[in-house]
Amino acid sequence: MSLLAPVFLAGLLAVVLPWWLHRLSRDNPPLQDFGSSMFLQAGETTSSKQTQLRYKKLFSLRFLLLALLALLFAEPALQLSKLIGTSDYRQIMIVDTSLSQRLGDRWPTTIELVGQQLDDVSASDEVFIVSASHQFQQPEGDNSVTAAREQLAQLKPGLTRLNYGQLASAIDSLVEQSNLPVAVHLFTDTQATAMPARLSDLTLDGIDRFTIHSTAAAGEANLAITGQLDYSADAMADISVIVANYSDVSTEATVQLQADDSALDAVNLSIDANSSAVHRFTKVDTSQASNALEVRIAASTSQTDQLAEDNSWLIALPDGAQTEVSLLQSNALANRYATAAIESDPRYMTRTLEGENLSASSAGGLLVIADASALTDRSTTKLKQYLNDGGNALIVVGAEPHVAQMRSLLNVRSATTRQPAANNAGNTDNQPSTFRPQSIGRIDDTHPMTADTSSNWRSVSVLRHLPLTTSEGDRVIVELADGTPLLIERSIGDGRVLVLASALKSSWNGLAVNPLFVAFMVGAIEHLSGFENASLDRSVGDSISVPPGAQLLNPAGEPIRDLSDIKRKGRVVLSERGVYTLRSTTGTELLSVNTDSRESDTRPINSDKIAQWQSASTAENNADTASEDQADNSTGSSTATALTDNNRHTKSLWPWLLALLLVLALCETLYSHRHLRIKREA
Amino acid sequence: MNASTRSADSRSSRQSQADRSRELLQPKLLAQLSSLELVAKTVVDGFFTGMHRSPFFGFSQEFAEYKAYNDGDDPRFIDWNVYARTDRTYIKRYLGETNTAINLIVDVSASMGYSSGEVSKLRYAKFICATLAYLARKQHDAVGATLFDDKIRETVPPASHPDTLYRVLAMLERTEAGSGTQINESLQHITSTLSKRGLIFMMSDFYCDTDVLKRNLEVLAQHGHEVALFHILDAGELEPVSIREMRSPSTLKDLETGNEVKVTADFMREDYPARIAAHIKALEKMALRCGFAYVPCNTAQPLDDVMRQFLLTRQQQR
Repeated sequence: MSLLAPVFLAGLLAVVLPWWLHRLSRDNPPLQDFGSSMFLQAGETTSSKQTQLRYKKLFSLRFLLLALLALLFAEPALQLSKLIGTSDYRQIMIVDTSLSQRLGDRWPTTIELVGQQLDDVSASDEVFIVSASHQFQQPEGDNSVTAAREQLAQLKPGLTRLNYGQLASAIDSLVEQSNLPVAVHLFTDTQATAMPARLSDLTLDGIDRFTIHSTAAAGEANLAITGQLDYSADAMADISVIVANYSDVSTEATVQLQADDSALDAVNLSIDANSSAVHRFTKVDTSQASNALEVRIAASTSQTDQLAEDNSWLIALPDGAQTEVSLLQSNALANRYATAAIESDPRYMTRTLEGENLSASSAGGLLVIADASALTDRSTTKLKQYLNDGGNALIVVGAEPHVAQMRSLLNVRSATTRQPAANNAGNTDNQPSTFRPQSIGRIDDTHPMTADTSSNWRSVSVLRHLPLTTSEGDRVIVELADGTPLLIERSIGDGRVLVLASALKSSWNGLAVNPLFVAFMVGAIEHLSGFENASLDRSVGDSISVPPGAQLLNPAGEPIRDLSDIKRKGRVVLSERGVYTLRSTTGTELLSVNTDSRESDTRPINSDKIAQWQSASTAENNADTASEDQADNSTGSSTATALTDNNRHTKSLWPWLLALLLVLALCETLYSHRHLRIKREA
Repeated sequence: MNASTRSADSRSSRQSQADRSRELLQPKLLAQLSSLELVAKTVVDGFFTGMHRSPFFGFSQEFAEYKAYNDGDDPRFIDWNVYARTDRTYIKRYLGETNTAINLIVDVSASMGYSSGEVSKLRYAKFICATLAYLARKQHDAVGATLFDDKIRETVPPASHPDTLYRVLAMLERTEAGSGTQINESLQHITSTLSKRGLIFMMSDFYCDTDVLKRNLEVLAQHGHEVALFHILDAGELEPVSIREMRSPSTLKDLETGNEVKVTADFMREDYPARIAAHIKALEKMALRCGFAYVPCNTAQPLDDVMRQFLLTRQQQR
C-alpha cells in the first residue's frame, strides 16, 4: 500500500488531532493568582471532584484516540469468533458422493467417519454438510449438529464423478462467505483420477483447519467395462470392448453383448492385475436393437469386484436417418457448391430456406449461408434474431455485402481488399489472373475444425478476401500470410458463427474446388451443431448444449426442457445413465450416457500427494502457526489424515478502527466544547 | 444680567468643574500620576473643588478655645457668631489642631498586591493614605504611618513637622507587597508603641478572623484611640468576573500562602460572593458595635467617593 493511499492520509489527519487537542488544553489557563484562599476552601473539595471527573472523561477519550491511532498503524487482526456470535468454527463436512464411493465399504466408512467427526464438534460450532460430486450441494436445514446428522442420513453416492480441482474452487467460495474460522473436513476416497494435472490447483485459501479423511481401504478391487462403436452401416456394427481390472490379482470375466435384454454375443476374457483386456465384436446384427447396444460383465471369477455400477456400457446406434441442414437461399453458385459438399456425407441432406422465413423453429440449430452478400435487409434482420436466440451458422461473407446491417453484424469493412498484379490493377471479378494469390498463414491447430486438416489448408490459395475486424472473444482459426483473418469463430447473442471472409468463387479462392472443402463444410456442421462427438459416449453429470428448437428426451422418453425453453438454446445436465434422444427439425440424435470411466479406477493417490495438498493449502494461509497432525483412523482400514490445525482466524480490523477513531474524535471535540467549555483566548 | 441668572451660571460653572475633577479622581487615572504627593494634592484639591462649604472640614474632635484673629490666620475659621455678638474677630480652635496624632496603618502583605485591573489594593491604599496624610498636613495635624505584613515593616512616628508628610509619602512610594499577614500580632505591637491618643486609620483587606481582630482593635479603643477601618478589596475579589466568565474549573493560587485551590465556575458564581459578603457584613457589624468607622473600598471606586463616605461616617459618629 502506498503511503499516499487515502487511509494513510486520513491517518495523518489523526496525527494532527492530539496536537490540536494540546492546543485546546493550553488555552485553558492552568493557574490564576488570587488575593486569598480564605473563602475558597469550603468549595474546593466538591469542585475538585467534579473537575477530576470531567477531566477523566476527556483523558479517556484522548487516550482512546491515541490507542486507536497506534492500533491503526499496527494493523490489528483479531479472532472474529470472539467478536461475532458464539460459534467457534464453521465446520464444513464435505462428503464425496461420487460413483467410486459405492465401492465396497467406502460409503459405510464415510458415514461412520462423518458421525465421529460430528461427535467431536462443539455445540457452538456451525456445521455444514456438503455433498460433492459433479455438483456441490448443501442439503436443507439449519447449521446444528442434529440437522447435520439428518442431512447425512439423506446422502448417498451417485453415479457422477468428483474432480478435486472443482472441489477446491467450491471450498474457496464456501470459505469466502464465512465470518468465522473455517474447518474443512473432506471425506473422500482420495481417488487418483480425481486429481487435477497440477497439484497447485488444489491450494485452498482462508481455511484454518483442513483435514482429509480417506475412506479408501487396502485390498479393494474393481472390474469395469467400456465400449465403442467402431462402425455401423446397414444394421451391422463393429463394437470394441475394454475390460479393466483395478486389482492386484488376475481375473477372468465373461463379457456379454446384448440388445434390449437379448444376448447377441459373449466372450470370456482373461485380465491381468491392474491391466485391461480388449475385445472386438464384429458384424454384430443391430436390427434387433431399438436404439442402443449394451456390453456388460456377465460373470467373473474375481471375488473382489466391489463396484457393480460400471459393469455395463451402453452404445447408442445411429438411426440411419439423414440430418437436414438448412441452407439459406442466396447466391446460386455458392449454394450449389455448399449443397454438393454437405450432401457428399450420407449423414446429411440440405434444405433450402428462404431468408424471409428464417426462424429457430424452421432452421433448427444450424444454418449455412453460402453467400451473405446476397441477403436482403429483412433477411439480415431475421438472421440477427436467429443468432441472438442461440442459433449457430456458417457464414461465407461472399462479395462485399451491400447491406450495411450485414457488414455491421460480421464486422466487415466496406472497402474490398485487393491485391492487384502490377500490370492489371482494377480488373473485374471474372479475371482472377489479375490478382496475386496469397497463401495461408497461421492455423489454429487446437480448433476442432482444423485439428486434422491444417496441412490441407496450406494448399488453398486466396486471391481476394474481405477485411474482417476481430474483437475480444473472437477466435481466429485461419489467417492469411499477411496476418489478416480468413476464418474466425465468433459469438453473436447466444449463438455462434463461423465466418469465412471470402466468397465461394474461383475468382476469390480455390477453396470450393479443393478436397478440403467437403471436410470444411462437414466439420463446420458438426462443430456448430455440437454433435461432433455424438458418436462418443457421454458421462453421467455431463452437460450438453441443446440448440434452439430442439427437445431432449431422457432415457425414459420424457422431455427434459419445458416447451417455453425450447425456443432458446440451453444447457442440460445428463443426470441419468441411459440413452438420451435429441429431437429437432433437422433430425434425431441418440446420446448414450454411461458412468464416467475415470470413476472406475478406484486406486487412491499416495499419502505424499495428500501431504503436499494439505501443506500447500495451509502453508500459504497460516505459515506462522501451521501444525501438522496425522493420525490413523479408528476403523483401521481407513486413514484419517488431519493436518494444519490453525486456531487463529484473523481478519483485519483497521477499517472498523478507523471509523471508530473518527467517531471518537468527533465525540471528544463535542465534549470539549460543550461540556468542559474550555475558555479560548480572544 | 440679573442676580438670579448670575447665580445659575455660577452653579453651572461649579458643577462642570466638579464633574471634571471627579473624572480626575478615577483610580486608573490617579495611577498614572508619578508621585503620591501629586495624587494626594489632586484628590484633596479635586475633592474640595466646587464645594461651597464643607461641613466635614478638619479631623479634630474637641473644641479648645477662641483665639483672636491675627494676620495669617485662615479667615474661614473665624467664628462669625462671636463676631456678631462682640464685634471682634475670633477664630475657633479645636484640641486636635494642636495635639491630634493621626496614625496611618497600612497592610502591605502579599494579598494587598492582588489586582484584577490596573490598580492593586496596595496602590489604592497608598492613595488613601497619601490623601489622608496630605489632608492632615493641611490641617497641621501630626501624621505618622506604620506598614506591616507578617511583622512591622516600617514606621514613621506621628509628628507635625512639615517633613513628616514627605517621609510618609516616600515610605509609601518605596514599599512593595511583602509576604504573609499577621494583622493581629502587628496590631498588638502597634498598640504597645502608641503612647498618645489619636486617630488610627487602618487600611487592609482584612483577611483574618473577625473576632480576633475585634479584640485587638478594642484594645486600641480602650487606649483612647479613634479607629477607622478602610476595608480595601479588589473588584475581582468582590465580583470575580474573570473567573465567572470561565466555563471550566480553575485553579486559584493564594498570593500569601501559595496554596492552590481548584474551584468550579459554579462555586465562584454562587458560593464565593456570598462568603465574601458575609465577611464584609461581619466586619461592618463589628465596627458598628465597637464604634469604629468602617469604610468599604473597592479599587474600582473613585477616591472622592471613599473620602465622602469616610467623612460622612465620621459625622454620624459625632
